[in-house]
Amino acid sequence: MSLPRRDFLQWTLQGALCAAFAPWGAARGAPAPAPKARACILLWMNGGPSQMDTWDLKPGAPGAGRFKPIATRVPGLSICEHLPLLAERAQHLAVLRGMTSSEGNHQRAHYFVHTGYAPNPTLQHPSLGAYVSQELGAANPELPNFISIKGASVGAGFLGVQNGPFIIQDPKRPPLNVTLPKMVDDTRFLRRRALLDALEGDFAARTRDDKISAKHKVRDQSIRLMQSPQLPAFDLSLEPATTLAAYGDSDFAKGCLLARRLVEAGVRFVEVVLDGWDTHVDNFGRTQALMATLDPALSALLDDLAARELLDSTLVLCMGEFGRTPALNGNEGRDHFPQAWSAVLAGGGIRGGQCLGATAPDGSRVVERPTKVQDVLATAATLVGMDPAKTFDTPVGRPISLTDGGKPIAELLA
Amino acid sequence: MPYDDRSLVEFSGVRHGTVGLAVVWLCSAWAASPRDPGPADVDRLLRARWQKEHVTPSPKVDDARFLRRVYLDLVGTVPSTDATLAFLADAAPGKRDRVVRALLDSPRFAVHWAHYWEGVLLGREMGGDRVDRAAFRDWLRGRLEQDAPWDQVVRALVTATGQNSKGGKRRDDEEASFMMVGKMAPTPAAPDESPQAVPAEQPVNGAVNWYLRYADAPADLAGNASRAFLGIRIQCAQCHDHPTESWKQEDFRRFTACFARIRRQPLEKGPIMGLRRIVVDDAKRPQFGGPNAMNAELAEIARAPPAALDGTSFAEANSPREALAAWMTQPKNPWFARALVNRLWGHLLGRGFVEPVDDMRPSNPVTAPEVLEALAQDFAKDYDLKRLFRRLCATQAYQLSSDAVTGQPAEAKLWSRYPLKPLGPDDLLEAIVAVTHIAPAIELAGGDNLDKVRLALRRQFVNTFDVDEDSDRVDFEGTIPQALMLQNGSLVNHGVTAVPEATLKAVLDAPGTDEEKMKILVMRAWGRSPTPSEVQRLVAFVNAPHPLSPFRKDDKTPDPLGRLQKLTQGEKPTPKSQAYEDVFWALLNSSEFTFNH
Repeated sequence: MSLPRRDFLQWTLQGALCAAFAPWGAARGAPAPAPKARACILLWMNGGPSQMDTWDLKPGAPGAGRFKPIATRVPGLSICEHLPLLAERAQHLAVLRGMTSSEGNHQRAHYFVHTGYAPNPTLQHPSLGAYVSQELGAANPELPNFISIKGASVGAGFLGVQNGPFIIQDPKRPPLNVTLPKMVDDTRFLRRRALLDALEGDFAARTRDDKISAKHKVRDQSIRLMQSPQLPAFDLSLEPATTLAAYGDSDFAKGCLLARRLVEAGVRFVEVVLDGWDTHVDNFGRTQALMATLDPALSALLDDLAARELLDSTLVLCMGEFGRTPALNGNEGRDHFPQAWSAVLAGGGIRGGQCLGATAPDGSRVVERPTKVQDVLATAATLVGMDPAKTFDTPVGRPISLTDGGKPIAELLA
Repeated sequence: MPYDDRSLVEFSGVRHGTVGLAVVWLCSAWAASPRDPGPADVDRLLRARWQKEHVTPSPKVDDARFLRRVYLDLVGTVPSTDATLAFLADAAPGKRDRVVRALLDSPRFAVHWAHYWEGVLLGREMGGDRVDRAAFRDWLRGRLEQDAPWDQVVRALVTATGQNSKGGKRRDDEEASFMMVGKMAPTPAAPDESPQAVPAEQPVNGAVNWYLRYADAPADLAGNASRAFLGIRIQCAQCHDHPTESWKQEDFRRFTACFARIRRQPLEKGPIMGLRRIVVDDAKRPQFGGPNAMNAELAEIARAPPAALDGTSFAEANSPREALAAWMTQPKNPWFARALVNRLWGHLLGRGFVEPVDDMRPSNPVTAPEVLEALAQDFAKDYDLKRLFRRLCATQAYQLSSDAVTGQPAEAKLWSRYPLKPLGPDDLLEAIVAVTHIAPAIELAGGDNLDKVRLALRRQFVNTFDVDEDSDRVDFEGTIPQALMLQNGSLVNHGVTAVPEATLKAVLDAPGTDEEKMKILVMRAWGRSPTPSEVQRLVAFVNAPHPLSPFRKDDKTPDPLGRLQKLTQGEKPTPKSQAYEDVFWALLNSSEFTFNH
């Protein structure tokens, strides 16, 4: 089944042109392409997953480990045997095996991968969630636009707390304090607010300070959330048992299902944290258990989004703060390794079913199509219709670009 | 507007369980202090500014509001009713300065400001298993309690050697203080920690935790030193040269190189739970390595000859960081005293002379530089922090009302009125606990002890606020979770009920009319007497016909203080008792409570 030579040439030429000119055009402020993604779900693999035991297996390498690769629905792409459901859905996935960065400390890398910038205390950079939620605006003004489940994500920095994450610690319960206390009914709450408004009126008249109206604005938003007909979006008990079962039993699975419900309700950015990938000790046991959580949850999420025709408009990102060493340490573990790692994207209109970049046979470095974190963020920004080179004025007066010079990954932008 | 306070005095007479600071200022007898320069020249300079720019300052704040303000600013909580009434009753001159001095010498001052500096110097992240935040805070608190001059504090920090921690489990209070990214799992020895012989155990010097917080990122350590102690954001030059600024990348590297030889040697190797004991000292050569060993920037820093921000070279110094500390704290240093004065002025008065307070680069304009200079010159005489606080609290600007002046624009200019400052999460939590007096009921209800409940609440509070503790923000930055917590949260909603020993219980049980009860309740919540129209409004509210709000027994929403319910089981709520709770709820949700003003 050989490709006709002329077509092949045309195809590669187009690819090359696309790769060469797309970012340049964007940097010049050319009209951004029509956005494909209307929402983004970041599955945050906290601790830094071992790429050599998940997405980029190296059979035969000195530190190969004990897992075997399995074929996927995409010819030539194989992933770990403990991700069988995702192997069945690889046509949706873009596996980036050429991720490379230089932050090897959890906290610094957590910040870096979320924002595209190394932490610098002189400036709080906004995270991807913050600018996506700001750029796309509220589809549903009653709900927070950026929700982080089971972890804190990274805030909005200089974009302001209104773009920061609304944190949900337990996906099985409604958000904290969103319901009235048990001794307060609606009438009583109205009465309380009326009295409070009267007291506030006096203080506001005396001080005439803007901070009071700012406070009231936030309070009004909180009340809209309490009274929102969209509140059932947080209620997983409304899902059929078969759906709940498909995602799996873990809190992460519940978080993924909640993410889908929230995106359906109009939330723009949802982050779901799966913690535990910092496998300095017992790498294989722990990584296998985590894959057993990730595999059904992400698979069900992709199926669910596809069934609702939301997959093309919802970008799903799955990554952690860095990878892990190709060599094993003395504790059957792997240590931090930012030099060469993997990230996975799906949906949002990207071209799935491909693998980009490659590492050396021993996994020690990227040998093909190195990809920077900033490029992934620029890709996400482009997909939601932002110009990744757009600059923002910071409080210190220095303009900075959203993605620190990241270039959208042309091969993904179908 | 003087108001009949008799009921308040009676009330305070029968009150029990006085909060720690209640009467501290009364007990203090002051010897005549040596004559030190008062705030008069600052006032004169600022008044000249006001005159020149046609600014009319607000009138002087009344005693009750001054007391609440100075409690929140100096010790991070609100005064008890007893303290307020005693202060109002004091007719002797100089009582404002007296209360400031008493607060500065109270243990709460050292605790509160140790927490503040911990935030500035360590940030909010836990810092892994190397950083014993509690030991660091203890060290700071000790320095503040002993009135250590600021130059000595900074010198001790910058040159600190010794052991970070006794090891073992983290203290609960530090776990609760800070937002954590993920959970704390056992951590392995970092690969850079050299295979030398394990050093001998040493006495703990909490100060070394400052270095350890940034041990993987010397640029951040240097950046923090420069911002916190010199008010200079040298780290802006980390990434690139900026044509209009004084410092270039090479200057930044040379400054950072002052910290390059600090060495850390762990007493424990291999994975551990809890805190790792580490000995910090100086080596002969730069120590960079670890996960960032491939980082070219670190190699550049290690190569750079150490130097101060004005170019003074420490390349020949025996210990570059000792040389740096000496350079920083010498009276000639143009930034050291100004940075601290600017920071504290900004903290107390809402805006520094330079904003942000740690960005005193030459191109950043200074408001009223003559005032900053006067204060800085005076501070540099002895670097006495408490004397500086006294001076600042005695200025006319600090003692202005937060009310806008009729006929003047609402926007405050040149500190022409005291700003509205939102209470941070810790201060707000403390204020709610103090004002509701709910702690005894929590203890009585059993289950988790008070400390545990407090920690859980604290964690919720801190996580809910999404604040950057390092920045003194004057803009209101409330969040939706914070608003939800104040309205529907467990602490506020149980706190306003008449559980045993709580404030509302005492108010309802006290003899007297609704008018008298309202005066007590407002005094408790707001630290001042209500105006007649406020009393009238609140009394009308509790006497209006209200339906009873039923208790939703079937509601399964978890309630961390749900056990308090059983303390009031015998008593049937009435529409009026609920209305009293509603009044208390409204007082606690009001801006007058949630701002320092």
